Amino acid sequence: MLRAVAKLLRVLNSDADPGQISLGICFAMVAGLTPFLSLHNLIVLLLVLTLRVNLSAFLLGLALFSGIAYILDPVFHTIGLTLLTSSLFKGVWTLLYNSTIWRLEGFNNTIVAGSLAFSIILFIPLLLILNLVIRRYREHLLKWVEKTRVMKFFKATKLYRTYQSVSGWGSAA
Amino acid sequence: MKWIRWKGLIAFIVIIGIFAGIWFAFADIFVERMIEKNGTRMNGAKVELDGADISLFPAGLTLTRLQVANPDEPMKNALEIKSINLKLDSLNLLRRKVIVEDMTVDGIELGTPRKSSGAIGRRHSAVKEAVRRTVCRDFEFSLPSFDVPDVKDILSKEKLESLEAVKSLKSEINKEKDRWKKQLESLPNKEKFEEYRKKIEKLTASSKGGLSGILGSVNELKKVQEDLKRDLESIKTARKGLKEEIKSLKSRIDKISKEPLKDIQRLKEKYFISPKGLEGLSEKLLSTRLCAWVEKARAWYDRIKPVLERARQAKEGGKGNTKGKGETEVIKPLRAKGFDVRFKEYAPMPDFLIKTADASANLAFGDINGRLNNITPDQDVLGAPLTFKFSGASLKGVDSVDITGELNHIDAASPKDTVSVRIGGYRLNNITLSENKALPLVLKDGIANLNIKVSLKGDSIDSKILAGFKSVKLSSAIEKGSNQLANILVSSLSSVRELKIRANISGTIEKYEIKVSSNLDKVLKDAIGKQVKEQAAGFEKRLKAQVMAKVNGPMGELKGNLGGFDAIGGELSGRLNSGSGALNDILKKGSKKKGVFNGIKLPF
Repeated sequence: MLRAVAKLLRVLNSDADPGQISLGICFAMVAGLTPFLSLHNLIVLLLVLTLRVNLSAFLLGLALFSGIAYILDPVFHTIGLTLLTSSLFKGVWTLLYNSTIWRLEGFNNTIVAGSLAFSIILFIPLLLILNLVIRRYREHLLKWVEKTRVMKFFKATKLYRTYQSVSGWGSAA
Repeated sequence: MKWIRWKGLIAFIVIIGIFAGIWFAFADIFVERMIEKNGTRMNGAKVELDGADISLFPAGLTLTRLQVANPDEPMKNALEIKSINLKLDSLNLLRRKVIVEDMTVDGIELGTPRKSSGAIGRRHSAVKEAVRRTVCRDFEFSLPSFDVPDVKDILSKEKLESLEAVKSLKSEINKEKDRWKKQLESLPNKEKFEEYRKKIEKLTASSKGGLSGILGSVNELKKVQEDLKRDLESIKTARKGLKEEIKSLKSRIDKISKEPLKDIQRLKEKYFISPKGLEGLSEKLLSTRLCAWVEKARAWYDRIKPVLERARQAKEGGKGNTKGKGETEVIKPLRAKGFDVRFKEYAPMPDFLIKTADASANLAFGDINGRLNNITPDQDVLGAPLTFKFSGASLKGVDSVDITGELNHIDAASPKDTVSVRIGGYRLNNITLSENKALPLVLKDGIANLNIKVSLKGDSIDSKILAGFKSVKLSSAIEKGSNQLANILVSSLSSVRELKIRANISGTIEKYEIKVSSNLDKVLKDAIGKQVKEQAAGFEKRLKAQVMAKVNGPMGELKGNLGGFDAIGGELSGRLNSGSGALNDILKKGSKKKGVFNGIKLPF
C-alpha cells in the first residue's frame, strides 16, 4: 500500500505530461476491469506500449482496477446480460456471433460485454477528468505536498531512491 | 512531443513471443490436467494420462495412455487406451468450438490392473452399489422343500376358506329365512280369504230385495273381487321371489361345495412342491445375475447420460434462468466468469463434436475394430444421433462379434437409444449363472450364440436377450445338507448339454421386470416330476380326506337349512289356493246374476 502511494506521488510529481498519465490510467481501466485474458486486452497492451503513455500509471491503474473489478463483477454481469439479451441489439450480436474474431473475443460472455461496455463508456470522461485533476494538482497542491512530512519521509527512504533510479523509462516517456 | 514509441512495438512483440512460448511449453500439461480433472469428475474415479501433445500445423492432439479407473473396483481400470490421435478443425477452434474431424483410438483394453487405487474418496459409487444390491435382491429366492409335511399339522394352523364360506352362507340363509317368515306374516292368509268368502255369501243373499238391491250387491261384489285379486297378486309375487331366492341359494351352495377342492389345491401348492411350482425356476435362477448385468450397464449409462443430455439440462437450466432473471439474485459471479449468451448461428455447429472415431480394442479374445460417428453433447444442434458399429471375426474363443447402436438425443425430451449385440460361437468357461445359495449354477463349459437387443425410450426399457448354448457342462456346488430337491436338480442339471435362454427386460430404468424362459424349466420339471408325482398323490389323498372330513358336516347342515324354505313355499301355495277358491266363488255368483239381467252388460 505504502509502495503504491509512493508510486502514485512519484508519477504525479514527475514532469510527465498529464495526458500520458491519464491515458495510462484509462487503458489500465479497460485492461483491469475486463477479464485480463481477452483479445481486446492484446490491443490495449499494444497501444500502451506503442503510444507514449505513462507505464507506471498504467501498471498502478491496472492493479487498482483489477481489484475494483472483483467488486464490480456482479454489476458487469447485469449490464452484459441486459445488453446481450436486448432485442434492440439482437441483429448486431447475431452478426458478431457468427464472426470468428468476435467469438474469439468472447463478447457474448455477460462479464466481458458488461465490463467492456462500462470501461469504453467511461474512457473519454475519465481521461478528461484525470487531465484536469492532474493539472489542478500540480498547480495548487504539488508544492504543499512536497513540503509535507510524509513526502519528506518518503523521499528519505531507500525504496523511493531505488524507485527513482529505475523508473526513468516509464516516466521519461 | 512524439506520441509513438517504436521501442514499445518491439517490447509488444517480445511479450507476445514470451507468452506464446510459455503457452506452447505448458499447453500440453494444461490439456493433460484439464482432461484428467474433467474426466475424473465425470467418471467418479481417477482418469489419468501419461501425456498430451499438441500440434499446431495441422491442429491436432495426441493423448498417450489414457487410464479410466473403475469406480466399483478402484484397483482396476475400466478402460485403458494406448493412444488417441485427434485432428482438429483449427478455424472452429478459434470460434471456441472443438470439432474433431477424425479421431483414431488405438489399443483399447478393458479391466487392466492398476498400480495405485483409482478411488477419489467419493462414496457415490458405493451408495449406488448398495442401491443396486437392493434392486437385485428382489430376484433372490429359496427352493421349496421336498419333504412331505404332516396333514394334521397343516390343518391345525391353516384356516379352510371353504369352511368359512359355509359358515357365512349358513348365517345368511338363516337371516333370509327369518325375513321370509316376517314377510309371510304381512301377506293375506287363509282367514282373510275365508272373510272374503263370507262377504260374498252375504252379498249374494242380500241381493234379493228389488232392482236397487241387486245393483248395490253387484258393485259390492266388484269391489271384493278387486281386493281379492290384489291380495292374490301379492302372494304370487312373494312366491316368485321365494323361488328365485331358493334358486340363488342353491347355486351358491353348489359353488361352495367346490371350495374344498380349492383349499386342497392351495395347501398342496403351499406345502408341497409340485411340477407347476417348478415352472419359471430358470427365471428365479437367472434373474439375479441378469439384474446385476443390467445394473452394471445402467451405471455406465448413468455416467455417459449427462454428456448426451446437455441440451436437456440446458433447457431445464434455461427455464430456471428465465425465472431467475427477475426473481433470483445473482450472488457473486466469479471473476471473469458469467454466462455465455448464445445467438443463432448461420451454420450451427456443436461446441464439441467428434465427427468420426475409429477405435481398435484389444480384448482378451482378440481385436475388435469399430467406428463411432457424431460424438457430441449437442445432438440437437447437429441434428444427427451418435452411431457406433464394432465388429470382430476369427477371434480367440469367439467366432464373431457385432455391436451396433444408436444413441439418439436430438429431441432431448424423448431420447431413443438402441444397442444390438450379436456374438457367435463364444466359448465360455466357468461363467457363474446363479449365485443363489439354494442352487448356485456355474457354466463350466459351453459354446454360446448371443443376440441381445436393448431399446431405451425415455425412461422405458425394452430388452430382448436370446442365448443359445451348446456342448454345455453345468455344475452346482450346493452346500452339504441341502434339501432333497436341490440334490435332484443338481443331478439333472449335470446331464444338460443344450441350453436355450430367452429373457425380456421391460419397465422403466428404475423399476424393471425380468422375464426368463429356458429349456431348463422342462429339464428340471421332468427330473423331479416323476418323484414328485408319487409323493404328491399320497399327500393330496390324505389332505383331501381330512379337509372333506372337516367340511362335509357343515356342508350337509347348510343343504338341510335350505329345507326351511320349502315350508314357506308350501304355505304361500296354500294361501294362493284358498284365495283362488274365493275368487272362483265370486265368478260363479256373478254368472248367476247375469241370468237375471239378460241383455244387460255386467261389469264382470
